[in-house]
Amino acid sequence: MNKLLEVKDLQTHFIMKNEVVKAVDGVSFTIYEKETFGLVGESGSGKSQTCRSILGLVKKPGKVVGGEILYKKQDVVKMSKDQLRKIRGHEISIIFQEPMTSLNPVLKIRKQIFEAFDRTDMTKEEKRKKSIELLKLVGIPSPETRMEEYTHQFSGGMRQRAMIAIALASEPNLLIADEPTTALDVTIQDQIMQLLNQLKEELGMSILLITHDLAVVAQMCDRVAVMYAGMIVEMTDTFTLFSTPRHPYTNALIQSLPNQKGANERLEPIHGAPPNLADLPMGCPFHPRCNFAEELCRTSRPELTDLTPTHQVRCHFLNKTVGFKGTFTPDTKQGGCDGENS
Amino acid sequence: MEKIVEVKNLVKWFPLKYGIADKIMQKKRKYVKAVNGVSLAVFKGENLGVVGESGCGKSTLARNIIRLYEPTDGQVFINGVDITKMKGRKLRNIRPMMQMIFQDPYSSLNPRMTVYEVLSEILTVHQMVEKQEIPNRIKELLEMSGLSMEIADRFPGEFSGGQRQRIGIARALALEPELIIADEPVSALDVSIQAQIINLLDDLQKKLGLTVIFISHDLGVVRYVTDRVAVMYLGSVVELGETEKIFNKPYHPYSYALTKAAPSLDPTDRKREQIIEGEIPSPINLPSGCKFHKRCKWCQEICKTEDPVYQEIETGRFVACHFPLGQEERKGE
Repeated sequence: MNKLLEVKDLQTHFIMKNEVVKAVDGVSFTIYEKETFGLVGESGSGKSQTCRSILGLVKKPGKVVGGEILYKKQDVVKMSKDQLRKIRGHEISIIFQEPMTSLNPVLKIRKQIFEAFDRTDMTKEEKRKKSIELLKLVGIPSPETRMEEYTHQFSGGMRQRAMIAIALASEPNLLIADEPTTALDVTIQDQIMQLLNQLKEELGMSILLITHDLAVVAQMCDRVAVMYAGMIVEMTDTFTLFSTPRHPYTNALIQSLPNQKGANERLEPIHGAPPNLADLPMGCPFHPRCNFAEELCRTSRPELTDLTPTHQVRCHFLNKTVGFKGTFTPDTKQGGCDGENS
Repeated sequence: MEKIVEVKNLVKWFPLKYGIADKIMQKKRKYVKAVNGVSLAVFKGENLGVVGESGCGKSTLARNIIRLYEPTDGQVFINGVDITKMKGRKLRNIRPMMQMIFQDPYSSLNPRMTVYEVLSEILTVHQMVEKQEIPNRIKELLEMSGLSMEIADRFPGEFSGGQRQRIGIARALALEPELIIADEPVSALDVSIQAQIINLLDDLQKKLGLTVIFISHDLGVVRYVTDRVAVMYLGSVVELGETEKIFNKPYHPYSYALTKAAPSLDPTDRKREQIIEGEIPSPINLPSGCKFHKRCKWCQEICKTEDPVYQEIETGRFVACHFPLGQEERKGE
């Protein structure tokens, strides 16, 4: 498999008057061609800032202060604005959580799709044809009339579809989806997830999916990284993560979901609250909330270590984290690591 | 079992703007038909879930029960008393026994009042305890909600979402209610905090013998928390019954679609089949016949013209559908 995007030791910090908020603190991962890679974590875990860093969209006073982001072997961080513009919205597209605030309310949908063709020398008629094709692709009925409408005339699910159509207009190699289904109802969420899965297959693009919802990860991703306090704490393929999680945080997240429990079993919440990123605890950032923490965890920060070549975990006591209950038991015949295509 | 709430044929329509131009043109008045004839009962001590997509009227129903809205038609009984037309002091006297917990703890607390002020105001206004007893009562309330007296002098802005929701719960409990309406109480919270709040609500319900109406769009949470569940679609209850029974074997096609649309945590269980198409229609122009017919896979001719009757087809199981799922096999039994 070819590497499409490689993030190496990315550090995005927000430098304020009195403090430095380390929103992303040494994140490394690789996205291969034609795969869906998930970044999962709670609010403030740095997942959104990671994806904003990739597109050079970090807002001030935030800044990428270290690391490399290699897109097709070119470093995005070092690119000039002009170079970046050629990639952003063309080779890498993004869809956001709330389509109402990220679409332009005073432009017709048609115009907003046409903007994506600005750098091509297509004729108007070609643009029109292509737009209709795109809207059909994302499942908007009667696209000829709908593209003459404004965003407020679209429902939530349709807006998200329109946004996906705009993102796809430039035939991106990588689609970044930042919480694409969070604002939608379950039935619509289901439709959008299936649409993205299907588009990935048809167009052969990669997707970087950012979400807080483990179920969305289970339904969409090939590989996944779990983030906590600006760091990746566990990274592996989806099947391994959900069958044999090894980081105490991953396990705690899974166990705190009501789906995993019978009606009379008590939920096991993670006690405490996520840490303040400006004032991280010493040692492992998760130790104040971890059931397995020992003295070592309070003083020294664990490294992301290879458990297997495809499974990395950031924990001092991997011997203690064996036997966590996942959401399913892998079928031994199928094997855990090779994904759904086997 | 004792009914604490009974709703009979409740209707709530919100009028749309009707300007002078519309009047001259003699246009018909238009309404957002949020709730269209809901009948249900809530029994003492139970936890009734209300689920449905956004815009299905679940919050409007709750706000009518608690009389934040005045129903357009129908009746609401609280402990056998008709409160539909109640006003003024009478209503104020009955309000303390039903309290609401809101979705967004960021916007439901006054940002300029400390936690202590928020709680003492309620206790004073409703004369719940003697003046000198107020500090003790506040301490008790905060501890009940998993907070401590140390935070009493801080403002809501200083807290995280989970803590704010705890303050919201303490506020609701201050009036010693019998009925709590929790409107999406955990939707705005992080996964790790959600479980804390769910456990807290569960403990309080058992300890204080509360009755809870739990409104949520998250089916995983509803399945775990509630005893019975009402599934709503476009302002009507389409199915009501014991939670486990509905989740295991839904009779109404919409309940079926909802339960199937909820994503599974098992990555080997990925769906390929689209169960429900399209989106919820506008509540201004309701579809004819069965309101769900446009999205229903099993739609027949009769569904397009005739609204199905909401009836009890098993003990404690109400369905509004001409052709409930699994009906044939049940006849054969």
